[in-house]
Amino acid sequence: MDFFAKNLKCLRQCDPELAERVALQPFPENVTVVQSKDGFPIPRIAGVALHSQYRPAEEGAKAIGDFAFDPERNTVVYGLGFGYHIQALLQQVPGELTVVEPLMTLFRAFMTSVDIQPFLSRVRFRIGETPACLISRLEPDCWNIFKHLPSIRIGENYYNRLDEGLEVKGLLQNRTLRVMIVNPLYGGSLPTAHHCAGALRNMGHEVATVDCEEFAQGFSSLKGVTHNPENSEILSRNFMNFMGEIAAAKATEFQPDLILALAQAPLTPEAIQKLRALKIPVVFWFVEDFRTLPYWNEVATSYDHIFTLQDGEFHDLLRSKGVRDCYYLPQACFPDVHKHLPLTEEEMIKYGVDVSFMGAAYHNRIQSFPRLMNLDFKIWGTEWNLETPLGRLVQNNNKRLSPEEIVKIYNAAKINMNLHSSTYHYGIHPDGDFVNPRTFEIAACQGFQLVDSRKDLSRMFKVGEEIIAFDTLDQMQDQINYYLSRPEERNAITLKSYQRVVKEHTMEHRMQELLLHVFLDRKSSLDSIGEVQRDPLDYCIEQAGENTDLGQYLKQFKGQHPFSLKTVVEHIHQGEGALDQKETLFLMMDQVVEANT
Amino acid sequence: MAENILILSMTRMGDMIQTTPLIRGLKEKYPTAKITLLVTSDFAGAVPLIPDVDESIVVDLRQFDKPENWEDRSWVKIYRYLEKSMEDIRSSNFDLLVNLSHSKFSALMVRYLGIKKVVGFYCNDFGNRMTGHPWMQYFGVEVFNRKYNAFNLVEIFSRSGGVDVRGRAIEVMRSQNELSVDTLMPFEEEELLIGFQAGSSLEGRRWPAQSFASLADLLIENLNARIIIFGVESENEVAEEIKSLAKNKDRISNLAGKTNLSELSQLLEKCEYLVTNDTGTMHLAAALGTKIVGLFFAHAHPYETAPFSPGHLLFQARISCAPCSYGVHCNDIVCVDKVRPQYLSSAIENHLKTKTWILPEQITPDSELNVFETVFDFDMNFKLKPLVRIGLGMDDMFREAHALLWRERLTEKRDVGKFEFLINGVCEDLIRDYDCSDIESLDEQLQKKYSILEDIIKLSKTGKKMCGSIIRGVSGGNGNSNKVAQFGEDISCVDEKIEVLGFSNPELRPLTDMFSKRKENLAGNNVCFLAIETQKSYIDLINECEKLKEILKSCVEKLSDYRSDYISHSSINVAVPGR
Repeated sequence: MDFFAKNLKCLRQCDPELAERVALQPFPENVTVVQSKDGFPIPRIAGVALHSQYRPAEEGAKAIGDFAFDPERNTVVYGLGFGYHIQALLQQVPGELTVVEPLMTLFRAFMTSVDIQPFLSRVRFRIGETPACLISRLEPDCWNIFKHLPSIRIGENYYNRLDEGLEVKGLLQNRTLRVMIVNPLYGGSLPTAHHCAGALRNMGHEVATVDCEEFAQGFSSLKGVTHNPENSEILSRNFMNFMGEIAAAKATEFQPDLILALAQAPLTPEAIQKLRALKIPVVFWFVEDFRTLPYWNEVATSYDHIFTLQDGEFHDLLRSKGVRDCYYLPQACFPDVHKHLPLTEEEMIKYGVDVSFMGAAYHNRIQSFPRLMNLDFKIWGTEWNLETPLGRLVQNNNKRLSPEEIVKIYNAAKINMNLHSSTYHYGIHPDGDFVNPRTFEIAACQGFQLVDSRKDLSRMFKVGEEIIAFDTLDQMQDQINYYLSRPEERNAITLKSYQRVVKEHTMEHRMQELLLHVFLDRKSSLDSIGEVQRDPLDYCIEQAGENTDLGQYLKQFKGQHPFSLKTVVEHIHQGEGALDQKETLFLMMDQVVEANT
Repeated sequence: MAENILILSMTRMGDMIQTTPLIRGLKEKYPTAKITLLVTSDFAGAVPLIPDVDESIVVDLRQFDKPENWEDRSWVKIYRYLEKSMEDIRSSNFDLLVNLSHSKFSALMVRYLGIKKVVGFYCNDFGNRMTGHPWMQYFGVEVFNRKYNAFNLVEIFSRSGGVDVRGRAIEVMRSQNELSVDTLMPFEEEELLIGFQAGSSLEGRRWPAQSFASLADLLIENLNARIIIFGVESENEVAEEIKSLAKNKDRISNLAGKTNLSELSQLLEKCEYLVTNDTGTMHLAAALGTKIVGLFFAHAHPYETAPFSPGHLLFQARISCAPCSYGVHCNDIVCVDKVRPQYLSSAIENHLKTKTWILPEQITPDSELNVFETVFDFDMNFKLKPLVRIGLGMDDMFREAHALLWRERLTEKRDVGKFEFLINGVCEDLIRDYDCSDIESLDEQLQKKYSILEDIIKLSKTGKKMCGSIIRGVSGGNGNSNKVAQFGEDISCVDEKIEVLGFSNPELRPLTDMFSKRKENLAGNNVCFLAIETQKSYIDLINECEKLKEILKSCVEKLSDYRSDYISHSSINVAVPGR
């Protein structure tokens, strides 16, 4: 029997993103489905049967015999097969299971041959996802792993890589990497650069940034020097070379273990080569639309790894140009900045509104938003024509807003409009793929949003449950009216949205994934980076002895991050009253350390 | 009466040797006391050289100079080491601590140790570096007033320990081990050995290798000397360069990095002279009785760090930027070229013959050189006697005047009957050492300074009066806190004016700086107490201004008398037949 159509319909309800992917997968030629002796379908790949050809269900039950369920941990199954072992687990083990399977082809065959209905309520299928993605999003510290051995044999490389990824995660956790971030000169990626730095620091790594934005004014001034385009190009090129030297000088001094450049970082291919001469990975996170900003063409092949907001066509293009490696890494929120904020009465007056939009005046927004002018609607952002009727709704006179203000805006509105930008569409980009950072930021602020449909949205959220999307402008208006009158529904969706982003879509998740991907093939370099380093304060307390005078004294610094001797010395300097003996010793020690470093 | 004395000497070997007069003085003052010297591991090897030391404590901070030596990069290890070291010291129950180091580290250590009686720098309750002793306060302001300081650091430190250092010199214990040095280099007993110390802690302080090489050749060719180049391992390159530049290489031995301290001492003692930059070796050699020909460049200042014993010859460029301030980076070093090898060679040659230092003929007042001989003056104070006779200028006058002033004002026991004696002695030295023919011009310039002194006195009297008002107000119990606060603000205005007068009149700045330093070291929250102490500071300032004026006027008068005597007895005024 062919279960595919029925299964696909069910899968679309639970996991539309996976459904889309498997829908595109034709039935594989390399998977043969045979009948077991007791009439159950068995897949064979490269001549290897993934289950018993006699009694696969019995075999599945036996296979899980030694598996010890742990209520504190998540059950993760390596290998799908055709799910007989999973069915056995579902009978023995409570709660949800996560199934990790590298082969979309096998999943296609599974979807055709097996009724997926009994699985759907409790099984989360993770098919064809990279080890880095799985490890960074699924809390591997809590995994209780069951290995389906035949699947392991078939997908040996993949599962070995997954195990290595777990090892690398452990190594990264106990090491302080030195990461140099090259910021863009300006633009929307600049906050992303700052968030990357913040996230890496929160993860315990040491970060230095090349603050190219400090030179933005200079670059801007170059434009006024000459109208001759050739000369202008020469000036720009020289400026870029200069920025490359700045990055090289910083790298020479800082001696990073990794260099991360963000989109629009002013690095020429020559500059990137110079950085690569340090024999450390130099990677690029292109957080822009590859169609809108095509300069990636010039630099893509220079980097060791390129991380992108878009895959599919973009990755095909990148590979055709000969890039070393490209990897899908979507945007995220940064909870240090994007968070729920209680607002004062004054702030509610200023920022509070039924419908709000925060962003720049792109063409499609200028075209779409007049539809909302009959509503209680506020606009915040830049480049709006303030002389137009729509412009009169702009609250901040096109002046740049601080991150703190933006967070207040998201918190204060009943509905945040999140219309992805387009320079030429009337309203919604029908083929829009990537998800903008605003989507995650509003969710992290526990703000309610309506977002236009994007291809990748269902990869990030359960649309309809965790986030509400519209396909047309009419639908947008209907949804606004609907949700304005249903605050409880808004709150419920907001909460689910928030839970999803903090679980999987923070900048720390992304940085974790980036580091895992980069260092999965560079495990040996992690070994040489340094000895195991734990949280510095915990380490010092252990050295001092937890129950000693010194250990007890140090405990007051718990939660302070980063922690070092300077933290203690600054605390002493800010203190009141006479120095006690311990404090005097610390100041003496500070003198010794200063003299010797 | 101290019985158990701890001396912190956490600087370098030369500084340690410079403390020997103080230590000797303490031993005489407290004959039954045990004296312990605390040093760092870098210079622990020098402790056996220091006489009158009963015990030593070594603090090894060098072990932490490489982060990898912390094993696990945890500073907890340093903390525990310091804690144990300090507790061990505390358990020794010292009753007097003398801190000759001016580092923050040593000041904090003093605080931690909590010894009752302290001389030198310490930290107060809030971690600020303080010093109560007037001589250490002077040391704190000297660095800003180097031009007007005539005191060697030995004198400053010794006096802060309550030791009268007149007639005393630095001294070291002589090495008992005679055997090892013969293996280092062969020489004959009668040979004239002259040592070179060509390196120094700072590169800018070094005489060029070529100059040393040329001098070596002159001494070898003219005096058949044998030259020994001393230094530490890192100075070997300089030593080799000197040897390679010299013509008479076979008479030059490079022992840089090849001697331990004992061997160095023995060899220095065998040398007749040591030609040296301002280094610890210089002090060691001087203490052993070797004659020093000292070279002072960059920030090195012979007034501060000349070898503290008589009979040494010192060279320093007399240019407007010498000595340079600490921390500056010179991009046009000219001072080292003012001292030419032939000057030294000539001086040494004459000294060998006459046992006196004679100024080489080639050196004139236009040579832009200071050449000093270290002597004890008429009152047995250590002094630099200038051999190049230049016109007596304001700076020289004030230097001498400040020396007189502070010796009197900062010493516990003041001998007030000696004023005339001291003025006479100073003026005789000035007449001998300087061309005082233009004393009228000097006097004219001094008039302006007297006027400024009067201004300072006037301001101080105002400040003193304000303090009196605060004291009366607070101690009478009817002090209006607003009024007290207002007085406080007014006093700040007065002090600012005093400070400005000091800045704009550098010759007088030592006075205003000492005033500020005294006030800085006042501690406590009791308004009445602070007002009383502040009032004392104003009184001190008034007295010092008046005294300085008196000294200057007396000197000018005396110098004018000497000059008149000279003119009246000059042959030019004697009637000569036929004239």
